[in-house]
Amino acid sequence: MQPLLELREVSKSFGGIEVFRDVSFVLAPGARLGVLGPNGAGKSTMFNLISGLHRPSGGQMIYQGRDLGQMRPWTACRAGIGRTFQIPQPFTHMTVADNIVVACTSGAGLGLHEARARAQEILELTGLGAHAQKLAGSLALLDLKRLELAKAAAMRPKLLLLDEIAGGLTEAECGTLLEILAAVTGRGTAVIWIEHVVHALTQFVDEIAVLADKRIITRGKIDAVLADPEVRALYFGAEAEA
Amino acid sequence: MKMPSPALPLACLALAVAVMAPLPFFVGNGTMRYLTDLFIIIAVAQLWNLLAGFGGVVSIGQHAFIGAGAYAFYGFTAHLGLHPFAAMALTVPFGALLSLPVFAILSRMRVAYFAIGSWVLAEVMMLAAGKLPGFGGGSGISLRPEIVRAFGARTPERIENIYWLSFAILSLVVLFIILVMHSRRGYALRAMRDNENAAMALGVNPVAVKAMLFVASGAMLSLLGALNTLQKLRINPSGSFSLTDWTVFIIFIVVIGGMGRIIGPVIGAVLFVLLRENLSDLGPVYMIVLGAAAIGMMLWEPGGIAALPQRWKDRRAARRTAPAPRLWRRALHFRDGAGRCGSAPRRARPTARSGAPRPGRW
Repeated sequence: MQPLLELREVSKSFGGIEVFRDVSFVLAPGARLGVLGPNGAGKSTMFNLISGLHRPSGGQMIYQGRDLGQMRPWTACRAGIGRTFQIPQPFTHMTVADNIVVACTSGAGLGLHEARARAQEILELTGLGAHAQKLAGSLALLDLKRLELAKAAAMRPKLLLLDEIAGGLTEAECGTLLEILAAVTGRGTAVIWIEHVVHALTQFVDEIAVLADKRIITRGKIDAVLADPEVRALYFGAEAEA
Repeated sequence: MKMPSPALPLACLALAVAVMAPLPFFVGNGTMRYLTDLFIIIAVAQLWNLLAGFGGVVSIGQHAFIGAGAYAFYGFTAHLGLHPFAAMALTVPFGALLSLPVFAILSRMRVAYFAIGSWVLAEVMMLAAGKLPGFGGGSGISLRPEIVRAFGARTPERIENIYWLSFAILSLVVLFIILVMHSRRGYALRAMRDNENAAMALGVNPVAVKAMLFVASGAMLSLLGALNTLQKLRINPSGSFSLTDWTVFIIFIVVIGGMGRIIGPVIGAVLFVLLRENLSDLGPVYMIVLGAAAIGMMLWEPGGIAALPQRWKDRRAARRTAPAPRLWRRALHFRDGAGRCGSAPRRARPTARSGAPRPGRW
């Protein structure tokens, strides 16, 4: 089967600072990959590359047989790559419902009428129904994170990039988030999820990759990766030695 | 805030049409000429507001399209021998075509350079217009009488027709803006203005959206330039491409009235015309007053006059939640909840500034 996304020896540097060196991985359609890694390991940069916000300095990115390195953010989006931002990026002066309508019209190419209907559906799924007519700028953090997810999911992406959507949530909120995530992503949607909240991540993904020291140091089944001594030393630090 | 449905602005537009269209039957020629000027100013201000207020594209060279439209109108009638109506209609595609290369150059520049670049391009176009053979050079040329007569054989009839024509064009400009703002493009536009990166990640192509706005505004400004020529009856580089009339005053109008709202340019233009009538005897003082008013408005209420009702509403709401301190409390050195001795607690100010221009509100 043709992979959905393939990175071949992708590098990225900003000026003299190298963030990423020869990163390669393959993602099958519908696969769910969790990404762990210490701060500054380049996880968000990876998303900026895949979503077309940044251009790679070297290597190739292939998405559904097309060169992703040449795509602009909006073409990547229309090709089916949806993303959330680590720091929620709402359209503050628009209502919550209108925020999602933007994703449905510009991202999924729907007409306004269908877009409003789908926005309503996504609002119910994500538990934002009560806030539909509020300005997005007035939402609290949890709801902003829901909106971030709602916007990305509303365009029905083939590949969904989630950037630390569980960060800062309580245990109960994490549970709700996982339910929402399951509701909005069908089995056909491939997901790459960057997260520090490991217990939330492991309930959703099939595989985990660990990004550290500018590269992917390991990738595999959840238990195997979490048991890896190198990962424990790198990621969990002192806890591994205890 | 609910997504404003197009019903309200459309109803206001219909009301304006119902009031203004039959007006020539009731008022004199002087008033009609005066209103025709006002309509053209409002339309130009609407188009500048569409670019800057709704689209975040700040150009200070839009007078280039007014001038180019005037010159194109003259060229189409005097040199190509077209009927004045056809010539006027043709200024629309002419303006659209002209704005394409202009946008191609300007879109490579960032905000401040975009503004300066647009100004420089406008100056270049003005100078080029003065060099065009057959357009009267630097001193310009008058419209031929037969061209003017096509809009009415006698003066009163002509003034009436031009009044209706300019009001119809203004209505079409406003209708266009209302429809755009409530279309899919309008959503993309408002998203882009709020957060360009996030909008791009949701499929919005900012260059395409801005190009659409720029071309539409260039096309309609050319038409307004041709219309203005009918009022002035002549073309000349410094008059047709007037930076003061078609950019400086227009920015003043939009800033005072309220950026990012359709009603803003209307309020601003009416105020501007009233000030101009009453202060024009003062000479340069008039410009100083206008400038001071614009700067004062930017500092005090960046949303312009159109944002004032919301500002007062916010203030009333704030007063309800935090009652105003009584005078006697202040005099008695009111002790606040934290036990800190000091002056009376200040009246809570509204937390959200109502001032920031809100895209897509009117």
